[in-house]
Amino acid sequence: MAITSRKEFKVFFETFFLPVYNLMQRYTGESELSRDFTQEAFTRVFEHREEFETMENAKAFVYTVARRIYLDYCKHQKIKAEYRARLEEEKAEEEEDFLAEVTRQEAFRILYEAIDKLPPQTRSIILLNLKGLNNTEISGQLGVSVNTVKSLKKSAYVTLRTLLSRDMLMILFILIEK
Amino acid sequence: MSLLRKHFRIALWIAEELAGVISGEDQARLDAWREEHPVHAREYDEIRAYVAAGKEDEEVEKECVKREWQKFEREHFRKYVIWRKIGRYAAVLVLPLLIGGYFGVASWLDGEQPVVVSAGIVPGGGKARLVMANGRALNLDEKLEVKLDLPGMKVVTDGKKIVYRAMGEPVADTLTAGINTLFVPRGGEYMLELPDGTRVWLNSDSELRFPVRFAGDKRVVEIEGEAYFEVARNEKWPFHVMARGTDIRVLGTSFNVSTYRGRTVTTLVEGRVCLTHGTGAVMMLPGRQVEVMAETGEMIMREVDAKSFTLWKDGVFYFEGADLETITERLSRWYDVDIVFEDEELKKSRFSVEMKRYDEIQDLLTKIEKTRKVKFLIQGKAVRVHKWLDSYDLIE
Repeated sequence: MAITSRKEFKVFFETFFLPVYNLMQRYTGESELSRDFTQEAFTRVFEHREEFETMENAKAFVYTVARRIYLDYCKHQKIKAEYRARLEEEKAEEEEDFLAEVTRQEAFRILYEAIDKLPPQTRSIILLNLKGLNNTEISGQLGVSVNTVKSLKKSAYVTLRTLLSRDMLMILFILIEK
Repeated sequence: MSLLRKHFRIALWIAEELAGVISGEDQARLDAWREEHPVHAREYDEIRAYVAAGKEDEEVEKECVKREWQKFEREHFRKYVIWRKIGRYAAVLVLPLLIGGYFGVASWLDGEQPVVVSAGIVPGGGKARLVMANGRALNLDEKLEVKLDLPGMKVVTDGKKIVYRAMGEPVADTLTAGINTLFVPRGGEYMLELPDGTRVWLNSDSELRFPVRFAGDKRVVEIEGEAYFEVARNEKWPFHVMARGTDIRVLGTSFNVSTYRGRTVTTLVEGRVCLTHGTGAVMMLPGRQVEVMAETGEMIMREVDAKSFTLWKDGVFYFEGADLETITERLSRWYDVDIVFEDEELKKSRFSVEMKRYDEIQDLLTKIEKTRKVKFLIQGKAVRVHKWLDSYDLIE
C-alpha cells in the first residue's frame, strides 16, 4: 500500500480530511484554524508518504500528527501558558479525549463509506433504519411496500457485511479504482 | 497493540454494530470493552448517538473537501506549481512553439534548441511494489535485482519479473504464509511467476493478491486492473481468478482480464474457463470475450480477435475501431499522463492504430492526428484533446 501518486494521495485526502478536520474543530472550536491545522497534517503525511507500509499506519499517523500540531501550537502561544500548565496536569484526560474523538470520527467514516456504496433506494432505507424507524414507518415514508423494505434491507446487510468485514485497506483500493 | 489502534478496532465494531452486521465474536469483544469502565459506556453511547445522527450537509461537506484538496494539490503536486509559475504566458507560449516546430523555425527563441514539449513524458517500464504478508514492502524497479532465500522458497527478481520457486518440502513461515500483494503503478508493468509455474503479466495501475504457496484444493488469486494469465495446467487443482466479484475458474489456459471502469472483461485465448458472477455462470471458449458489469452483474458475451487484447504484454499497443476514451485511458496509465478532453463528443470517435509500447507518446498521437479529426496538445504531463480545426491544415 503506497499513497505516493497524486491519485492515491487524493483518495487518502478525501477519505480523512473531514475526520481530521472535525477532530481539530473539537480542539480549537475555530473553523479557519482547524482547516490550517488539517492542511498541515496532510502536508506531514505527504512528506512521509514513502514510509507507510499499510493504510492503517498512514491513518494512525495523520490523526497523531494533527494532535501534535495542535499541542505544539498551544506551546508556542504564550497566551495559552495556563493551558499548558493544565495540560501537564491533565495529560491523561487529553489523551482520553483524543482517543474518544478519533473513535467517533472513525466509526462515522467507516459506516458512511459503506452505506454510500449502496444503491440509492437501499441506502435511504438503511439511513432511516439508523434513525430508529421500523419497517412499517420506513415503508410509509418512502412509499414502498413493507416486503420491499424487508428484502432490500436483507440485501443491504449482505453488501454491508462484505464491505465492512474486508480489510479497510482494500476498501481504499476499491475507491482508488473508481 | 497501541491504544490508538485498539480504538480503530472499537470504531470498526461500532460501525458494524450500527450496520447490523457485527459478528458474535466482535460483539462480545465490544460488550466487554463497554462494561470495562463507566467511562467506556458513556463514550460508547456518545459515539452511537453521533454516528446515528448522520451527516449535517453532504453537499457543503463535499464542496469543502474539494476546495481543500485543490489547495493542497496546488501546493504539493509539482505540475500544478509549474503551471502557476508560468501563469498566463503558458497558453500563449504553447501554440507558437508547436507552430514553430512544424515550420522547423523554432530557433526564434534566442537561438536556443527547439523545445521538445513532450520531454516530461516517457513510456512505462518495469516497476512494482511487493508487500509481503507480514507487512514488509519491497520496491522493485528496473535496475533492482533481488535474490531472497525464504524457508522452502527462492525468490528472484530481475527488474522485469519476480519468480517464486518452491524448494523442497513446504515450511511454515511468516514470509511464505498469508497473502502477498504485487502493486504495479501507473507507468509500470511487471511479470510474476508463481511456484506452480503459472505466469501473470500485470499491466499499469494493477494489483495482484496471491499466496506465496497455494494451499487447499484450489489455487486462488485476486486481480484489480489488468493482467494476462498463463495458468500451469493441473486438472486436479483448479485455478481461480477473482476479479471484482467475478470468479474465473480455469484448468490450464491463457487469458486476459481487466477490471477497469467497473467492468470485468475476460478474453480467452486458449483452453477453457468457467466464469461465475452472483448466480450467473458461463463457459467460455477460445476467441470469446465476456464482459461483466460490476454493479448489476449483467453479462455480455462476444466473439473477438483474442490475440489483439493480449498484445500489450508483448509491448504493442493495438486498437481496432476503439473509442478515443479507451485509447487515451490506456495511454494515461502507461505514460502516466492526464488526459483532458476539450470536447466530450470526441471521446466517442473511433480509431484503429498500432504502435510499440516503448515508443514516445507523440508517435501514437501523430498517427491519430493524421485522420484530421483530433488534435493533441501536450502540456507538461497532461495531454489536451481538441477537435481538429481546418486551420491546422495550414501549419501541417
